[in-house]
Amino acid sequence: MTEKLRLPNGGLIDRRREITFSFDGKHYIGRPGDTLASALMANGVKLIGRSFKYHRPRGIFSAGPEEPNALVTLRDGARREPNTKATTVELFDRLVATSQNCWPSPQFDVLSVNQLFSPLFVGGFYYKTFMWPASFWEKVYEPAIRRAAGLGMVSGLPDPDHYEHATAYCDVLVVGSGPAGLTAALSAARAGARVILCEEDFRLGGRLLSEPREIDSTPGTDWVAKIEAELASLPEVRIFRRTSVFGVYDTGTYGALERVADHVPHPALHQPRQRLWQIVAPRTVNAMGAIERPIVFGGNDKPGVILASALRTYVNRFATAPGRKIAFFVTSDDGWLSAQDALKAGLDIEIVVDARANVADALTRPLSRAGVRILLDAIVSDAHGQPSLKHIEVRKADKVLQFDVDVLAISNGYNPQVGLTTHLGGKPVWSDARSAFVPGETATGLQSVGAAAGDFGLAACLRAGMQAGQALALELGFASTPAAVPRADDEPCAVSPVWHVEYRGKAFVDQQNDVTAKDVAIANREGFRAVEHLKRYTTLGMATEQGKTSSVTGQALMAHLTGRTMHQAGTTRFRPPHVPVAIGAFAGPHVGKHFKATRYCAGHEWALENGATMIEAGQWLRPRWFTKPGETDWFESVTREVKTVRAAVGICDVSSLGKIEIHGRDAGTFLDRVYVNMFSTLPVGKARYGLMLREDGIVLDDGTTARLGPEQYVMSTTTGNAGKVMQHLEFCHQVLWPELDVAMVSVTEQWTQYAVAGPKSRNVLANLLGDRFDVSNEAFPFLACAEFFWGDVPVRIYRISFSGELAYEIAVPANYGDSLIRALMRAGETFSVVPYGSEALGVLRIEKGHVSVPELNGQTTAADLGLGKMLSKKKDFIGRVLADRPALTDPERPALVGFKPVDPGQRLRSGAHFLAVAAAAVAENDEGYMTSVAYSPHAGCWVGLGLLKHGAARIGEYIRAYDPVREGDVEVEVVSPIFVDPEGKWLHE
Amino acid sequence: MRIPCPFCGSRDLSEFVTLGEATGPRPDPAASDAAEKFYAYAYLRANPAGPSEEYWYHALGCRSWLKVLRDTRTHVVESATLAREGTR
Amino acid sequence: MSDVLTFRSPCAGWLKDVGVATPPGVSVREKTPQIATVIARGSVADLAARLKASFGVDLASGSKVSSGNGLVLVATGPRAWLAVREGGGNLVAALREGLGDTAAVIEQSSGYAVLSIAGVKARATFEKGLAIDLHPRAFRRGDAASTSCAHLNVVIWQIDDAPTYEIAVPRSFAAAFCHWLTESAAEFGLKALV
Repeated sequence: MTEKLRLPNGGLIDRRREITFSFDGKHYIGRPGDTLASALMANGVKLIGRSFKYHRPRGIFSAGPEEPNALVTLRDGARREPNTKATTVELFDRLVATSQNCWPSPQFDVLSVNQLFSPLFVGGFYYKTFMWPASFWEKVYEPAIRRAAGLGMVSGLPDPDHYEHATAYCDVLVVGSGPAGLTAALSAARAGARVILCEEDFRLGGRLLSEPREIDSTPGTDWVAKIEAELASLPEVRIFRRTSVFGVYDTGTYGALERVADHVPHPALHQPRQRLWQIVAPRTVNAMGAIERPIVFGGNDKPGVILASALRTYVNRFATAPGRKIAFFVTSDDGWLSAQDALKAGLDIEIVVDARANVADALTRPLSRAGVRILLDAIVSDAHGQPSLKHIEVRKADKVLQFDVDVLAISNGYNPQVGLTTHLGGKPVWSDARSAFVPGETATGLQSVGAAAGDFGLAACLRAGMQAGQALALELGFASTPAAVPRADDEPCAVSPVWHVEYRGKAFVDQQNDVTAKDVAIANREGFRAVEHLKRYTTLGMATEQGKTSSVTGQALMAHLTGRTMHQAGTTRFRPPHVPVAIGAFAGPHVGKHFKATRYCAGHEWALENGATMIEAGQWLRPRWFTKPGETDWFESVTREVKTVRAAVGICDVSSLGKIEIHGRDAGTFLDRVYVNMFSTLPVGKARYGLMLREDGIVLDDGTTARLGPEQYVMSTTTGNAGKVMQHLEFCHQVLWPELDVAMVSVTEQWTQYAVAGPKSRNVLANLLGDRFDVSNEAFPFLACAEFFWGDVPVRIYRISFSGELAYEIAVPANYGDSLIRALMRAGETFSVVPYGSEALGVLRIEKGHVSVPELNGQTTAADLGLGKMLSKKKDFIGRVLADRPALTDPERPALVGFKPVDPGQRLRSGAHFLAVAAAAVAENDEGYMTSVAYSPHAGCWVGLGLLKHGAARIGEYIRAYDPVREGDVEVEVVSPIFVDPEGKWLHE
Repeated sequence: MRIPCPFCGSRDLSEFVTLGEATGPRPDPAASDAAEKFYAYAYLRANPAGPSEEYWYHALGCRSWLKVLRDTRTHVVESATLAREGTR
Repeated sequence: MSDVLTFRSPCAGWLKDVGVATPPGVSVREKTPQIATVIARGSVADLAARLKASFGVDLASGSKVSSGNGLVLVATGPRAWLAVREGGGNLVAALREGLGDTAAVIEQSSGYAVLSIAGVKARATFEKGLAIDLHPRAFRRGDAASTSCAHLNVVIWQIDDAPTYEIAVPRSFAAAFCHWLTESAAEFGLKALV
């Protein structure tokens, strides 16, 4: 296939090299410097895809990110990416693209019959038609609509690439590298400011790449190269190409997407596909330029109808003609400049139609002299041709003329790119002088210059950029020396936009969403007249293009219909992202198991070596159970572990529990205030169970706190609440009682701690520690704690028990943790020691009636948990006053009791609700719920803990544990929550 | 959004945890109307549309509790001070 | 039993060379100093005076590194520091004796992985994790920051203009940090020094 529409000369493409690519299975040749759109155009491909609702044939409409039509699916396999704008895809070797929303091909699409039913698809159609019957929505309507409408399809495969997040700081962020952006960046950088220049294109220059202009008496592209070289030479300038700034966030924070490897077949080794930047910039220049507006007439979506500025870009930058015979329909001076460029490039121009009656001779003369027909005070009313443009109808006064052309370039003035200025709530304002919405009041630090501010002339852009860069640098304290503004001429840029012409065919406002002028009229008829309502009712301005070519036109039509001025009608605000950003980029590197960081205990590797199955506890990984050879399921392993602890000894890693050291003269006083019970009276060398409330009287957390010295305590918290408790303690100290001499720090990371539990636990520790420490009952009774040295390694030991057994916890600095568990296991070998995991730990504590996370659920009081007696009457503490409220002391409140199934063969489920045996299963009869269950080897059946109305007063009753979700309905006996050793003898043995 | 931590300097929102509006001093638990005072202290908030004094914790920073004056309409932070240095 | 407890550093097994670049853009070395948290109990001025008298260290105010005689204090809060010292002796005992009741001193030698990260691409690597500005105009030798790196809470301070940074990462997150580092530095080439 040859590049039949490639112009013989010019363009910023590398003619010496060929790039082969394919579109819909056909192979083509393009050039480095091409976009996919320009390469397809050069090869004469006019039909790119079919439209969203009506499956109308569509071609290339623009030359940038505003493209509503030329959406393709890029690449194949797992890298398949739908809805890519061909106008922004940088051509690369072996690129594979396919058309969308058409089957079997864009030339012959079965669903183009939708056009015949187009009355069905007008604005508000879905809302009205598919309302009834409701059950039809999911089964009938939605699947049918999904098949018929919509855009590309995702691959459905895991993304093989990785994405990065990064943060960059600068003094001045410049968005856009056209004449205004380049001068802004340059003048700020020359003053010494740190500058980041973001350009979404792969080349700097903006409009200077598309328009053959002179600056400082040199060609525009040479000037760009010169500025680019100077910027690159300045150490504090960073130039981000292929980077779209997509969002403005509070306090000078910007989101930007760098397409690191989108322009190559696949990323290089260690290279991310895309990088999501957070850019922090106290000052930002919006130099994003402006986007040309279309005109609404019949058939204005035909392939071949193109923005005049886009035609100019294809001709000048990409050296390709959009077709053989060209017509222009313009309302602006700029449209004539595009026509002049087309003429210079040797294109065959049939006619230029301008809706205005008066146009400067300087604009028309070059064309008329070349024999181009010119019609002023005329309009194009309809475009015809299947599948692409064949002829146009032109109306002047009462006359209707027809012209055979395959390209119609349209120009209706420009919309400044105000999107970013509205992200923080700024409202664009209509300027009659510029016939455009220009940025209104915007957030501090964000300034629009050049075409983005409605200053369209080249000289004005250069001047505004230069001044903005200098002024912003000065504001930030950089002394700048004023430099000469690059010399250029302002081109004529008058425009009298035409929003609406008389036409016969289907006239599109939003080509991406297939919203027609008629849809706008319907919205008006039905009262959806505000610009926001218009958008929601018709979907005008939604999807990947976000109304860049369509919003203002739609709003203008509505203003016309409702007799309001553009100023009165106003425009919608935009939200981030300004351009589509892949979810993968937002996820960044935090995917899969790296979604959140995993915390490993020092004994992790040992646990894996010994058959551990791990479970996440918050961010921690903890052993859940240890599978011994021959064991086939978790139940078998857990039951063995529990039995061994009860009969001999087991060891459990409790390192993930929060540990907070609290020092200071007032440490005891401080603990008295945060715990419901007393700690200032705790003797040195002793530990005590403590319970803390929130200020509203609900339990916050529990744990043991040990007093290692007169001014040194170590608090333990549950694994999940460690961070929350630390934050709470810091609040109490820093905000409530800063006068207390108390210092606290988390030492969770510092200590590896193992629970050694079971009747043989003392033997194991005696064997391990030998003469280093006396663990006898006499020397180290229940609730004792101590610190001693093993060589030069500090060791902490506590005689505390969560399992109800004789038990100890021993801690060493985590760098010795791996060594400790290996030593413990060796010391326990002769006593049949086993490691046990969190499941067995759960069974043991349930058997003992100890509360844990399922009971400390943010709804329970101390009394609910059977711990009401712990509340000290001798002192104030956090939560004391509000815990006394009637609703929290109501005896009817569900309180902790134990449960056993009446039929010991039945399984209990946590989450089951309690009902009287004969009561109906309705919410009014609810008496509480099961919080924790386990199979108890000791009891020989499932046992449970739960919260039941009137709590302990109900012991001996029979009720139902009703669990409709899992079809459970079990009769249970209410029993004491303590299933083993109710007198607590084992602890003291 | 960024918060000017008095110790760390300007930092991104993601380093902070908010507790909401800064309440007055913790009431006297021995007062006869302690129950009402604590009720107000725990639950009642002005919820202004405008400048609001709030507690923020620099959790992924210096672990200081801050009093931050933030405009709830614009997220503009006018000041941030160490809570321990404020009046209670 | 005569078991001896053996030392295993937080990053053992997690650091490896990645990428190809000569010289590598980034180098990393795990250090295993003694570490203690120091928290002022009374006025910071009292603490500073004792620190000067006992250790000859001038305590800089703000988020800075203060050092002298092999002892480094990295500020982590308005009233808190990480004390870091390589070599023998008992750091906690020495600090408790030297600082008396002006400070609480808490053993943290196993609480953090400490890594020394250097190279021409060190800043470019940290851009992918830290949300603070390490540009020489904003962060210099002697500056310290408590912040987050790829959502992990870290303390980072700058040692020299190479630039060399030291970073303390909570021990349980050592593997996660090493993963982040090797992923982020891979394109520049990462050399793990021992």
